[in-house]
Amino acid sequence: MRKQVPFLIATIMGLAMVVQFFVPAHGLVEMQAIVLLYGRIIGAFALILGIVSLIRVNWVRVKRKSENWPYALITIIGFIIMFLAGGFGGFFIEPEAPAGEAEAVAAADEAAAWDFDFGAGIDQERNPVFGWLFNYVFVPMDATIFALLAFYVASAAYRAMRARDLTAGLLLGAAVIVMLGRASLASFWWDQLLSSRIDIIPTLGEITEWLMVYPNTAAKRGVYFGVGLAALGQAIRILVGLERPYMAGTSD
Amino acid sequence: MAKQQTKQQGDIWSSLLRIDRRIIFVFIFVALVVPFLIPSLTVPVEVQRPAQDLFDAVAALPEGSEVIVSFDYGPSTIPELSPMAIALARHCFSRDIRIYATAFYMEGPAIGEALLRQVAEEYGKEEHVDFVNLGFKPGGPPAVIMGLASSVSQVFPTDKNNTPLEDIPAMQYFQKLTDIELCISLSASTYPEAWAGYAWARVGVPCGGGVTAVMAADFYAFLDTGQLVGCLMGMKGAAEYEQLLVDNEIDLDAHGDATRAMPPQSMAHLVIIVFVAIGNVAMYMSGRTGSRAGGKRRKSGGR
Repeated sequence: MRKQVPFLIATIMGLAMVVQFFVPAHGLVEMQAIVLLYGRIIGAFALILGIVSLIRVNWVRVKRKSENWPYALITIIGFIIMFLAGGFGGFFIEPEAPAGEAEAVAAADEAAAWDFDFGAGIDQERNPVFGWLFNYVFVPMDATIFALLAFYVASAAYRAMRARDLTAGLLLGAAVIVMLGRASLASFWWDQLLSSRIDIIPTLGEITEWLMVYPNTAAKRGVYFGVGLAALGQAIRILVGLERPYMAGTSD
Repeated sequence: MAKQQTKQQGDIWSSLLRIDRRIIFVFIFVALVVPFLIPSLTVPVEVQRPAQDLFDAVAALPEGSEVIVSFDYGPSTIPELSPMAIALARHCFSRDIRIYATAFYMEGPAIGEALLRQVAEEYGKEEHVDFVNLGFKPGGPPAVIMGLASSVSQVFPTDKNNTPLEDIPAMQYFQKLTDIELCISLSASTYPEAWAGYAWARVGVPCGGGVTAVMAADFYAFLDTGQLVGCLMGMKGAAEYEQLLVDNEIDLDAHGDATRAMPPQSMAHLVIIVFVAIGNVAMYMSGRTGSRAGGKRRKSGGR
């Protein structure tokens, strides 16, 4: 029973979603809307699960004083600060008064009853604490980590981009042309020195676009077809119960 | 003597192959920083077809129409994607096109909020009248996009800052996804593909994109089939859109962060290419000198 019921639910719902894609009948369209609504609700629960997991994993590391535990502590403190600033910032912000006089009176009564504007907490202008933390702590930290990539990519390119044989040489040539094509300065020099003087030589931008539109797209399409067919095969295997990823963790 | 000279040359090439990564870092740092210190250093931007197509798609919209701009990125890709969002917002606001911002990244709404308010101020536009920030919704693209196709208020009962949709004047023009003329996803991931897969394929709303340079190669197939009407590819794509705004006299001050970032980006690319060339020459030369020395050794060993 523990195996059959989930299998039946998955198969029936899966088939129904496939049928509604091709047959937009009334009942099926409504069913699709309900299923998608549940999808969003489950997505929200996954978010809560993620938060609980984040706190639990890091708290265990702090408690056991395992390697690099101070980072885990900083993660928890950071989470709590942002949560308080965004989630409860609305308690400290005066609700916005509506323009009309009657509306203002009604709003004042409402404010007296419940003096909390949740939305104001994550409005960067109305809650400068949240805005400051987001713009001057979170954004620079995240951007800095990503910016380091430029340095590591340069170092990796120096070591990896070597024309060891013909295919590697072709890849290197294409990469260099695309990189030059994406660099406005190189395109400008190329056009000034070559394209503008000799008619048959295309601009660097045109060569780059040709590489991206033809060889690149052809290869990508092959990959996409492969991925699509594999996904279709996987979906059929799940629908007929040959694979049951939704039963992970149970003995099959 | 000749053998020693060959060995020395081989050592030089071999040491070049093992160059300390910190030396490369210094060169990249200088290439990135110096052009920023010379504001007069500018480079002309050649507009490519994908950017031109997206510009044409926005330009072809009737004044007063509605577009979705989805902020599907986080702070790490702000330098690449926010200039695109600013340029697109300028184009839309200059033509009285209303913007409805959504996000599949949790950080997206906060990024979009600051940015849209800044551009709206330039054009004298008002939040809730000329643009609405609907915020982030979990559940993934199929649930959210197809939910929007049924009813916006079902997916987003309030905007990002908890204002009920019925109190937002601009929402009278956007009840369902079919009210939208164009969806543009700015993404550091494959979200434009998801918009094309659901908003265009299922609902019939044209879609465009703006992606980071590393993702660009993935989207040419979608442009070729018309699933995306146009796409901005990396920071150069943003610079191209800024150039288009200036060339078409939509905003003569549109040259912004992306255009300013072109000289440093160009210099960094050139530095990488020079290092790649050095690496390949060093590999070739060290192989030659190595085989020459090795050949002699084998010969003498044979004797």
